[in-house]
Order: sequence, then C-alpha cells, then structure tokens
Amino acid sequence: MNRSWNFNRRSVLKGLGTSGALVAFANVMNPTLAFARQSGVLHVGLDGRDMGTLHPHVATAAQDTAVISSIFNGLVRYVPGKVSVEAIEPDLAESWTVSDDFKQYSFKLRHGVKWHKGYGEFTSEDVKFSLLNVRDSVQSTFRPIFSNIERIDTPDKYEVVIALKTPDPVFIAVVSGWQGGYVICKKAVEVLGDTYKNQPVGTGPFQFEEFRPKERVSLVANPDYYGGTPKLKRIIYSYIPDQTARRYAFVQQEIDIMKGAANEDWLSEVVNASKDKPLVDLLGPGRNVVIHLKRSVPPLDNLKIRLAIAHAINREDYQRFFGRVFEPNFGPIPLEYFGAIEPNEIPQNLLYKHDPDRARQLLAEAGFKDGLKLETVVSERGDYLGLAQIGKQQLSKVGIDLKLNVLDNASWVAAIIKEKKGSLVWSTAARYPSAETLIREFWICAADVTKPTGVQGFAEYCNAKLDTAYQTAIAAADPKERAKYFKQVQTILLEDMPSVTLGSLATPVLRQSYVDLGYQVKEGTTVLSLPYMYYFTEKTNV
Amino acid sequence: MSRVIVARIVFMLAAIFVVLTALFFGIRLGVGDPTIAIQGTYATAESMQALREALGLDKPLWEQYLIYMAGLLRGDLGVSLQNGQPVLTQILAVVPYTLDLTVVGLLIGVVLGVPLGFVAAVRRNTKLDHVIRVMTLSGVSVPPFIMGYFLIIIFVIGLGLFPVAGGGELDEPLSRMRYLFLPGLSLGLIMTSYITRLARTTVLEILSKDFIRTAKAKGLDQRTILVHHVLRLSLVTIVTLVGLYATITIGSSVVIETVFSRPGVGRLIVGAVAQSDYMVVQGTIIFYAAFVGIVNLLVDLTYTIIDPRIRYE
Repeated sequence: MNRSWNFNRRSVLKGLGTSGALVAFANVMNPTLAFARQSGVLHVGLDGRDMGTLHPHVATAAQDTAVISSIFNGLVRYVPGKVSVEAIEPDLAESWTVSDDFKQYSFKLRHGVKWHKGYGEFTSEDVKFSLLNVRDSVQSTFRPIFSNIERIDTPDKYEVVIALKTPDPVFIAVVSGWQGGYVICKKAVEVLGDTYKNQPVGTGPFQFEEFRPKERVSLVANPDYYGGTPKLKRIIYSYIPDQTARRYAFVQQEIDIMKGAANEDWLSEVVNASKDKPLVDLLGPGRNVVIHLKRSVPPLDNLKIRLAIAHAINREDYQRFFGRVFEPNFGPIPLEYFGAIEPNEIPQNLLYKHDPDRARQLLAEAGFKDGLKLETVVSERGDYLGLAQIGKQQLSKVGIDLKLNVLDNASWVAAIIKEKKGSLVWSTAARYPSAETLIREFWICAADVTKPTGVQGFAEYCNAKLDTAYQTAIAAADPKERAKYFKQVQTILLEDMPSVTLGSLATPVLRQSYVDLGYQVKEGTTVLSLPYMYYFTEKTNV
Repeated sequence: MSRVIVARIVFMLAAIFVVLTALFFGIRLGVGDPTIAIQGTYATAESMQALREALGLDKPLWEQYLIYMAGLLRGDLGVSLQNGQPVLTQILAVVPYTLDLTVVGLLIGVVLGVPLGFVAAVRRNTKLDHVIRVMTLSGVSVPPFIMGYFLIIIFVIGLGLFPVAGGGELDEPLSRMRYLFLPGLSLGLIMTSYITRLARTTVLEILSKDFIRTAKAKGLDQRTILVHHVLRLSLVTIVTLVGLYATITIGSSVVIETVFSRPGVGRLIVGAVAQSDYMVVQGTIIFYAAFVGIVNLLVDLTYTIIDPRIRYE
C-alpha cells in the first residue's frame, strides 16, 4: 500500500497552530499549575471586604487586626494560643518590674531590634511616642484604656518607666501586643505622616509588602526579625467576603486558612468536602452575646418587663443553631474571663432560666396581660440577624411581638449609636478576657450612649452602686479582691437586668492539615487569640 | 462627521456632570455618616467628630462639592474614606480585570450567540429551534450568581480544573487567563442567551421582508440570500443592541466579580456602597458613565461602516 505524506507550508502552519492552541489550553487547564501549594507562602482567606487601616492604634476590624498582629510587637506578649495575665512573656521588653503600689512599671528593652524597611533601631523613644499617641491622639480608638498613664520616662535608650495615676495590678496586659499596646515607629510616623496607616512599619516577623484594594494585603518575611528569620516567605491575606467562594477556595486548597461561619452544619460540610482532613479551631475569647434593653423605650424602663424578657430566652435554641461555637451563660461576663461570676455563684432568685410561664406572669403583673408590641433595628449581618430572629421567635411565645427592621450593617451601627434608635440592641463583643473590659464599655455610667463619653452602653443604664464597686475592683491589687468586686458588679447587673446575656460565640477558623503554626494547638479546645486569627510567628510554616 | 463626534463627547461630559452632581448630594443626604462605618461600634461622639474633621466632612456641603469638582478638573478623584488610597489609583488597578471579563463575556456571547440565533431563525419551529430557545430562555432567566456557582460545581468541585477566588497576576498571562476562564464563561453564557434571542428575532424579521421574497423569486440560492442579504442587514440591529448589552455586561460583572472574589470595578463599587465610602462610589460611577458614553458613541460610529446609507449630519 502506498501511503504518501504531503507536507506543504499551509499544513505545517496549521499543525503548529493547532498544537500551540492545545498546549496553551492545557496550560490554562492544568490543575497542578492552578493550585500548586507554593512552598513558604501562606494564603489566608478573610471574611472582610477591604482593609480599613493598618495603624494598630486605630484599627478595630477583624480583617485589619489579623494583619497587624504579624507586623507589630508590644512590650510583652501572650504566649501564642493563650490569653491571660499569667501567660505573658517578654517581647520588645526583655524584663520588667512593678512597684509595690502597682503605680510604676519599669521595662528593660531588648537591644538591637530593627524597624522594618531601614527605619533604624527600636528604642525607648519609640515606646514613649507610641504610648503617648495611643493615650492622646484624637484618632486613637483606645484612649480610655490608656488614660491611666500619668508620665513616661526614658532614662536611657533601653529603659522605659511608666507612672500610673491610680494603681493597676494588671497594667501589664494593657501594654501587651494587642491594639494600643503595639509599639509604632516614631521616625516612620514622622516621615510617612498619615500614610503610615497604609504603609505600616513595625518590628514583627513580617513586614508590609503590598495592598491591593478590596483584593488582598501581602506581607513578606522580615529577615532582621529579632527572633530569627521566619520560615514563611510571604503571607497573603485575601478579602473573600462571599462565604461560598471562601468555602470552595478552601476546599480546593487555594487558601490554607480561612475564617469560617458560626454554624456547625456549615463547618462539618466544609471538612467533609475537603480532600485532606482540615482542622477546625475555635478562636476565643468568645464574643459576649448580649441583648441590651433600652431604658428610654417604655415599657423597658419597668424591671418586670426586663425580667420577663430574660425568662423568655431559651439558650438551648442558640446552641442548636450555632453548635459548639456557642457557649451558654447566665452571668453578664463570659466564663473564661477573669472575675466572671460562675453559675453556682449566682443566687437562685437571680438565675433567670427559661420559664415562659414566669415571663407571662411578670408581663401580667406589669400590666401587659395581653402581651406587648416592640420595634427595633437589627443589622443584616448573618450573626446579628440570626440572633435577633431566634430572639423574636422566643419573645413571641410569651406574648411579646417584636418587629425587626433590618438595616445594612453601617446603617445599623449609625442607628444605634448616633440616632439612638431601637429598643432591644444585640451586641457581640470580645475583649481582653478580664471582667473590667466589658463592664467599662457597656455598664458603667460613663458608657451610657446618651452621654458624650458613651461608647456602647446601649441599655442607657447608670447605677452609682455599680460604679463604686467597679472602681473598687480595678484599684484592688489582690486578684481575689478584684474578682470579689467584679462579681459584686455582676450581681447588681443581674438585679437590675439592663441587658440579658445569652452566652458567648467563638470564632471558627479552619486550617489545612499541612499548616504548621509553629506552636501547639490542642484540637477541640478554644485557642485564645485576640486578633481572631492565629498568631503567625517566625516558626509558622506550610 | 468630526463635528458630530465632538458634539457627542460634549453631551457625554454634560451627562456625567449631571449624574455626578445628583449623586454627590443624593449620597450625602441619603446614606449618612461614613465615620460610623469606619469606626464601627467603637465610635464615640468625640472620635467621630475628629474623623469627620480629618476627612473634611465637617465643611458645608456646597464647599465639599466645589473642592471635589476642582479636584476632578485636575484629574483627582479624591481619596477613599475607608482605606485612604487615591480613588483613581484603585480604579486603574482593577480596570484591566473588568475589561478582561467584559470583553471575553461579550466575545463569547457574539461568537456563540449570532450563529445560534441565525440557525434558530432559519430552522424556525424545528426541534433545533426549540432546543435553542429553551436553552436561551434558561440563560436569561438564571441569575448570574447561580450561573457562577453552577460552573464552580462543574469545573472546580467536579473536575478540579480552575481556581475559584481571585483574579491572578496581571503581568502573568497564564495566571490571568486561568482566573478569567470561569468568570468569563459565566458572563459569556449569559450574553450568548441574550444575543441568540436577539439575533433570532432580527433574522426572522428580515426573512419576512419583501426583498427576500423577491430574491427567492429571482432564483437566488438560499446561501446567497442568507449571507448577502440577511446577515449583513441583521448585523446593524445586532451591533446596536450588543452595544447596549455591553452596559448589561457591566451589571452582571458586578455579581460575577463578587461570586469569584475577583478584583474589578464592580466589586469596588459594591464594597464602597457597603462601607458608605462616598469617594469610591463617585469615582466608579464616573467611570461607568464614561464607559457607557464611549460604548454608545462607538456603536453609532459602527453603523456608518456596516450600513453606508446611514450618515450623521
């Protein structure tokens, strides 16, 4: 059989063209190219839409604090995975001493720590500048927490002495690596001015590389980090607000770590859909879930109505909805906080368990035998809306008809803070786990939102007896004494019931099994991490 | 002709000016205070006032307007209230991603839609026509995000072929194409449905014209009639409407960019609206208005090429 091969220019060109197109298509489709895990690069999927600010003294949003925690250091830090005064270890300060009256803290600083991007050596001047900035700057979000600082002296380059106005035995937690405690670079702030918030200069294991609006922030390893060169070359934090996209990206291992949804079914679905078994960690301290009952909205000024609402709440419903992420609680402060009142310490008459009959009886005693109607505003954000809808359902069972006006999150915040709208206000707050943080923000007289100093006192509550107990607690040096007065504050709150605490919500975070955080995290336990993202250290690796 | 183009550009600028002015005052009077969106629940009356002063929001509205317009004339779109970055830089950084998406979406739409519509019209009321019609009806009825998830389920979860979140690196063509495939296909399939339906209707209308009957009577073969008489004439209508669809593409791309967490002008505006970031909203609206204006101008000019009888005086 004769078989002839006719090659001409056209056929050769055609062949080349076709193979070129095939190779190009194969490359585009090549899964190994698409999702190859890049060695030394950690991909983190955040649920926020965009960066707000990377200035540690201003930032409060979770997507910002997550990034900040890798760039900055404090004088001291919590051992990764733990958050308590007992778990504090040296960071930028090598050692510290406290005066007997708890009014003076002296720090010896680490020598030879370098600021990122050639801004020179870290010294006591930076510490002074930083603490004064967080205490005095109008832009500083954390002014109230640092207002106790009276004077800062810097005897030499490596020594800082902080004098306090009133004794504070746990001040060391204030200057830890978190929020206002992060030390900022004096020289860089002077050079960069307002743009420091977009080009932060810190001393941490990773330095700022690039920000792409609404897309991502990337950090690169700081080769001069005092703890040694980090194992990771780069961390990329991507903004993936769409929960479904984040889930698929995680399942496909495009991202190594992601913020999860506070929903047990969702979490197990992601774990089951993933190839390698990823790990789910619950990051705490949990967000304290509270319904504040606005006093200025009648009949919420009536104690019986407030107690009826407390009795109408069934915490088991929340447990069913959120799963292990939710920890029910009857006291005002989460149980893992220092000074929290334990369930067995709450007097029986103040333990408002789920009791619809009692709730109806209280309503009748208050003159609302046939029930009552209330109206409030709520954020469309999934967690708030879920909480409010469950609450509405429970209240309706005792005859309280609550109308929910759903607003986008920004408008809701404006409505409750600026316009003082609403009647029942849901809040979820996580702070340094000691009772004073939540009491100061929500229940002392100065916190009342109707006052100029008011931050989150949505219940518009003020009781001089509570303020006195709170002041006595924070001035007490002996931890037992502090705890005793904090518990007294909580008993007063349970008597007056300005707000109903439901429990606390942890933040679920998922990590691929190949992520090595560089420190031990026991599966199934709550990992305490204030930025609500893992701390990435020089030892973290993928 | 050039006078017409100049007049159209002047008209476009005037339209942008009106849109922008309405937006400037509307958004400030309607949306409320962005300082709350920025500071969240930590906001106090004092800290909000400080931030308002720092952002220049304490000035009277007319003064803010004049400052903004003066900046605009210098090509300065202002600075994002949320992240402090210049608005123009942010838009320019994401425009290539949006252009990639819209161009690929439209291209797929035209390449698949015109022939499909043509075939459906010529084979009217046959099984093939019914299949095409049902498919295109589903295509226009399915919301863009469902289309996105549908493709994710097939290509990402099922076949593991493409990445799901992000836009790839602009300077790496392969990475850029890989991240473009699924969003481009989602948009392309939606556009295909629109364009198929449009092409079918247009061709059917032309087929019923007298001159087609005359052509048949003259004994011209089917192929000549379709290619020389029907196709050419139908393109005038199709190009006009495809031009209009380019603006629909922008609307769908907002959703698709969100589903695929892809950088782009759409995602920029959605984020800015959620965060009450006036500056970015204004900047992106100017971009959209200019885009729509330019597309319309190009469509008008294309007529004269396709149909030489059309003249602008």
